[in-house]
Amino acid sequence: MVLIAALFVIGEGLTLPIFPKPAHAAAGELADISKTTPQFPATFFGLTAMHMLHVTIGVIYLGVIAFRKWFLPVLGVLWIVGFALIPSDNVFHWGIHVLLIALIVATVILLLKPKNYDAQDVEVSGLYWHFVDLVWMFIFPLVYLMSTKIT
Amino acid sequence: MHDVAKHDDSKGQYFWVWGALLVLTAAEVWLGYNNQVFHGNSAHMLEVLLVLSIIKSALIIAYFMHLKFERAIMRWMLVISVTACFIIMYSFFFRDAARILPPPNGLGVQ
Repeated sequence: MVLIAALFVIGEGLTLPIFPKPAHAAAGELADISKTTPQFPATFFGLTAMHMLHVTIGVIYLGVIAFRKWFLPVLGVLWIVGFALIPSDNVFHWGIHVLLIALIVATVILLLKPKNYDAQDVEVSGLYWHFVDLVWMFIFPLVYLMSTKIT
Repeated sequence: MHDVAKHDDSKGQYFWVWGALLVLTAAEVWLGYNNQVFHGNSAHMLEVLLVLSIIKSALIIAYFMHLKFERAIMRWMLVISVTACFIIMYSFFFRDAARILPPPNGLGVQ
């Protein structure tokens, strides 16, 4: 049942290019939403902020694998020092609190899995990190380089 | 992972791949800031940047994610499924992106 539903979804995706194009006057709903609602911020932050979230998760992952419990004081010191040194009118003065969240997450991970991580863990965390890297390979030229003004 | 992969453990090739990635990134940035070489043809610029990005991705997958040193069945399974995934994404996303083309080919939205 699920397989049949999946085949229908895939089949529809593969055949979309041969569907008749909607006349643009008839596609009023789509056109109106696109004209009255800004499209850029949602697209831009949908790409870049989601990527930053995955990079943050990757830093926690690699930090726990590499340093285990010694990653907690590293995060704590960076959080305190960062908050103290970044001027209060800078957005990262409060943004540095993401390190506090990372500290809490890493603590929970180490409470749940307080072991020495082995070669398999290093391999898998490396695969995760490089997959996030792979996404950046396309976000960087598409979002940043393509937005440079053609002269 | 010596039970599934056979390759020498020298770190040298990682640095060569890293250097190649840096060179390709520098080329992309140079093209981004000197895009008069495309004579205003942004579709051509998109093609060139995406080809460079695909080369970088292939280097990362092959060396950093160790696919080059995996069994042949693993390589083919991954390459075929990723290609199929990209074909499906092409069908969905490029159809949607056509909205920004001017009529009659698209809706002409900003």
